[in-house]
Amino acid sequence: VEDFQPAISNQPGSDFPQVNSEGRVRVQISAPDANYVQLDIGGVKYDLVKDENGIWTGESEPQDVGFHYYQLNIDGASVPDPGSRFFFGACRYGSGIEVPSDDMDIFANKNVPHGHLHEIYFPSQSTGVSRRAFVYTPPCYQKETSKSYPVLYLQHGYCENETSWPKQGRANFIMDNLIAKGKAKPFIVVMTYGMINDVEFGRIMDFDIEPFQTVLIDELIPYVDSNFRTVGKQSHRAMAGLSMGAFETRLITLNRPDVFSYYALFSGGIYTPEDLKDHENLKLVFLSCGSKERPERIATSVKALKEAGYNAVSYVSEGTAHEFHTWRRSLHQLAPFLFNDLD
Amino acid sequence: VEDFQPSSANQPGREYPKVNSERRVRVQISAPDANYVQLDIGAVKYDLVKDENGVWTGESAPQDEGFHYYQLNIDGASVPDPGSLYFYGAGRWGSGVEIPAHDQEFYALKNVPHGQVREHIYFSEIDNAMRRCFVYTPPCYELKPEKRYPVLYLQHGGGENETGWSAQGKANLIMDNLIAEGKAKPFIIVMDNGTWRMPERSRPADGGERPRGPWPPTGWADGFMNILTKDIIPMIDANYRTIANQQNRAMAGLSMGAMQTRVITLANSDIFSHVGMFSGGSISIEDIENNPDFMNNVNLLFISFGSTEVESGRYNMGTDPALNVEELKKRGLNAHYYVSPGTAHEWQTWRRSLYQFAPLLFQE
Repeated sequence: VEDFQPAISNQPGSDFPQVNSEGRVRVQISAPDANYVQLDIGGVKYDLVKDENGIWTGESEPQDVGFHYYQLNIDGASVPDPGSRFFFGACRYGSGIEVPSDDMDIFANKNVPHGHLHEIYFPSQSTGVSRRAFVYTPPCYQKETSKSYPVLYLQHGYCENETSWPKQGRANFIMDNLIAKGKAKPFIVVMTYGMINDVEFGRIMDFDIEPFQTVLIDELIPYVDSNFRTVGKQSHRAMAGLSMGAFETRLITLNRPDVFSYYALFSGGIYTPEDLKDHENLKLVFLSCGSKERPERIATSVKALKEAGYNAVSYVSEGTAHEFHTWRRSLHQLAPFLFNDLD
Repeated sequence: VEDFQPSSANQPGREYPKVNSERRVRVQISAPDANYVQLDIGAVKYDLVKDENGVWTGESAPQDEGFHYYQLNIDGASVPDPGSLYFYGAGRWGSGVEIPAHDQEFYALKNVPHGQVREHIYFSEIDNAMRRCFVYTPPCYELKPEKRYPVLYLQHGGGENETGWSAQGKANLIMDNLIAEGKAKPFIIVMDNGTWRMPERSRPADGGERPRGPWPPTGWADGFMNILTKDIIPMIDANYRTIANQQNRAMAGLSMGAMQTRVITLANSDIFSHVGMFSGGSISIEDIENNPDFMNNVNLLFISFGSTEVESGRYNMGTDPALNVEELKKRGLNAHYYVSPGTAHEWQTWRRSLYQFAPLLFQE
């Protein structure tokens, strides 16, 4: 259908890539001396066609709604599309594209009060370097300077980093919009690098959580508690993650039942009632995934947790797979449950 | 010389691009079916050579110390190098490479107390749009909740945006290091987007060419001046613990941002007391005579350039900045002139300029 529009994820002023109402992605690049150019998206390479001016154009099959990583292939070279902005995923900064969805409103940049996204460097004795994190403070944080806030620690997935939740995840906009509507309590969100990208894919069982657990629990949390107005108590602390970040969340919450009181796993792992039997102060378990993943696993697990008396919630994102739109929606669903028992 | 090392501006884990001790940049990319691949840096295109595996490698002539934008050209397509991090410059997000500098310690990430750079999204009444700025708060800002701070408004150059000063300029690390050594007072830095649009000139009735006016066109800086004075400064003073008066407010910028600083501070010396212009003109005697308040109100003027700019002679825009500074000093203005050795109209000049400028700020 010829209703292609520039993607909202484009560089300022770039006409391409474009998306149509079927979710097809159309790219265009000038490469007069190339032998072939391809669009590489969703694990498929689509051939582009050259016009008389040396400009190549082509499009993909319909894509799921939401955000996708992609790249161009020019005569065998995999390169970013200069028309898109760049996002860290697939272990590199590369092109991304936003396929419009019915619920894009949840992460739109609207004229509502906005929180701040702080880039911080915190000292880490265990790794010997200053480490980076992003900290979202809610809109009221700068004004109500006597108030202290609960904190969500939110982890990215394999081959992503600490920029992934704020950039392609749009976590800060999701929170701003929920808070503006009174649907979520204002809280702080902390996103740091989960140190997981050196793990070889398929060797996940060899992954040692100890180094990241040390950075998170012994270094980052104390830094955040002393540099931001937090309520530095278990009752006011949550942990969530996507994919490998969910795997990390599960391991850390199981190793340290004294630190967090809300646990959320997006597209990665479950808890059994047996796992949680010593977790006396646990207030919520939240499990989610896309409908194109394995939603029955989430439902079964949450049913068992509920029957055992735990406060458990499941969420399935309709029509999405193991991708960021599933996780944006998961955060949007999770946030209203967090800290709503606190005054 | 075969002592190439990966650039510090590379993506995590990437071997290429690399830089050697002669400051040559070597790039490498697999493109087995390409007819040619070039490295495009410093306005020169260098041909790469293909090996038997289809991997292309090549290098540039020696580059100046510091940060440079660049791109690859594959069979006529200009694309970012997948090995580098991406920076906003030349009107796009693209590749950058860092050439080690003899003085790089002043902007290194060290184990000292760090301030924060925060992304601040706001609605502008003047612009009738959502805008974004980045705000640096010094290390002590979160730990001393009663203390209030002066503010520097710091602008990028043409084709850059509000990310430039922290990403490629490393303004936050420069400040963290200066503050840790006790060389600069802690202050807040606000970095917003000063991009301006050409004011519309009406076409003659006969439909001919639009008349050519002066460059930059009259009124070119009014748009950002309005946003800065009416939206940004009140918003910053309402949201941060600032000392909200003229004595504690500075403005500086590089290139186009320096030219904006000139126009805005000449017109608003009741708002700003400290002025920095990096690689973008200077304040002339004529300026002072036309704006006598500037002389009375401004506590500090700092003008800087890269030595390559000065040698080219194209930097002075009609009046010699060094002579201007000398004359302003004679007339009693606290004026400073700095030339960055061995650098051009590029970020190393501006990093060094901030490093020289910051210790002079808010000393009264």
